[in-house]
Amino acid sequence: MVTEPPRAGGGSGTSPPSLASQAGEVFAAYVDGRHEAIGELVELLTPLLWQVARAHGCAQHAAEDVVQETWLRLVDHLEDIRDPRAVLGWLVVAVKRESWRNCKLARRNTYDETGTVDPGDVEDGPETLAILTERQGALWAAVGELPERCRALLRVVAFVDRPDYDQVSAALGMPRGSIGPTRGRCLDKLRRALVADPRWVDA
Amino acid sequence: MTGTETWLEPFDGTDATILRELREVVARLDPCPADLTERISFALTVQALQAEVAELTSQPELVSRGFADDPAEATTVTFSTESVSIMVTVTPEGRDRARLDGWLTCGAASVGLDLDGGGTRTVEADEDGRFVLSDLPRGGARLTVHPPGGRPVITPQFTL
Repeated sequence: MVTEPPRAGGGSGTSPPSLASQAGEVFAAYVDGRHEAIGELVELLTPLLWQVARAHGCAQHAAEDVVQETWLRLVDHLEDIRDPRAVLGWLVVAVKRESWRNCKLARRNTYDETGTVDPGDVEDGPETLAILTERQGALWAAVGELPERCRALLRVVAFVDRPDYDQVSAALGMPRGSIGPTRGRCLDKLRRALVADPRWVDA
Repeated sequence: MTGTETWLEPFDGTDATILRELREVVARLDPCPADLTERISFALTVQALQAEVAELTSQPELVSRGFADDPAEATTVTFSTESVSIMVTVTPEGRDRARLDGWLTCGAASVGLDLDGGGTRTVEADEDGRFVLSDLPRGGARLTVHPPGGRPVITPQFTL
């Protein structure tokens, strides 16, 4: 049983265990010989790892390959992970590195003349924006104005829970405290852009 | 600008709301492909067993459409590797069950059928390579064949 750090600002009694501790429990069971636990871990963390690969410049197909390769490497490197709760961070680091290796180069050669077009970014075409509310559109546009490191941090952090922020920031190469317990610079920039945007405030 | 260091303020409910809404937006614009976890689990199984992956060599309809045309009809499909071919005939059993008749070119072997809904059924193929599994739930499944002394062979998913 893992004790959770208290969640500030939540206020609604029992919160679910953090992703890192859930993943740690399942991973520990796998290492102890419960083979099917690896499938549960894949279900639990793949949606997050997909975002990590996409936030680091991988086009869709490349992101699938990067995430799959990382899982195959994990089961060959079990001994690298001494604390099961670190498995989340290990996977995020591995996907980020693999994305840099496989996707950044392709991106530089193919797309990145101006540094503004990113195959890991979502097309902001009319169809894309049509599925968003005005408020969501304002949020997405504001995220697009952030520096690349901030975009990656917030996009990935949005898929984990507060107790996981430190582990995920560190895995993304951001300083500890980049987000939580203070707001941090990236989220602060985004928030300031939003409070100045009537589409966000009035919705 | 404001002159105050707002980034040093405590992470509050508004911050949590922004991130929750960002998650919703990203999940809508760029969701993880629905079948990615299944493909990864398959790749992990193949790696763990050091298995050969058999390729579908006939009747691709079974894999993609199941019994869309005629639910009463048996369907046969063949998977192959260099060392073994696996022929599988699926017949509906009553309203919602299925029976699988299999034949392996490698003769006697242990056979496992992994069901999509969870669980594995196992059976021994006889020395002619024949095996039967009945009263199976409908849905996706895949076979793993363990020929004596050889590498396991695993099939792609097909529909019962």
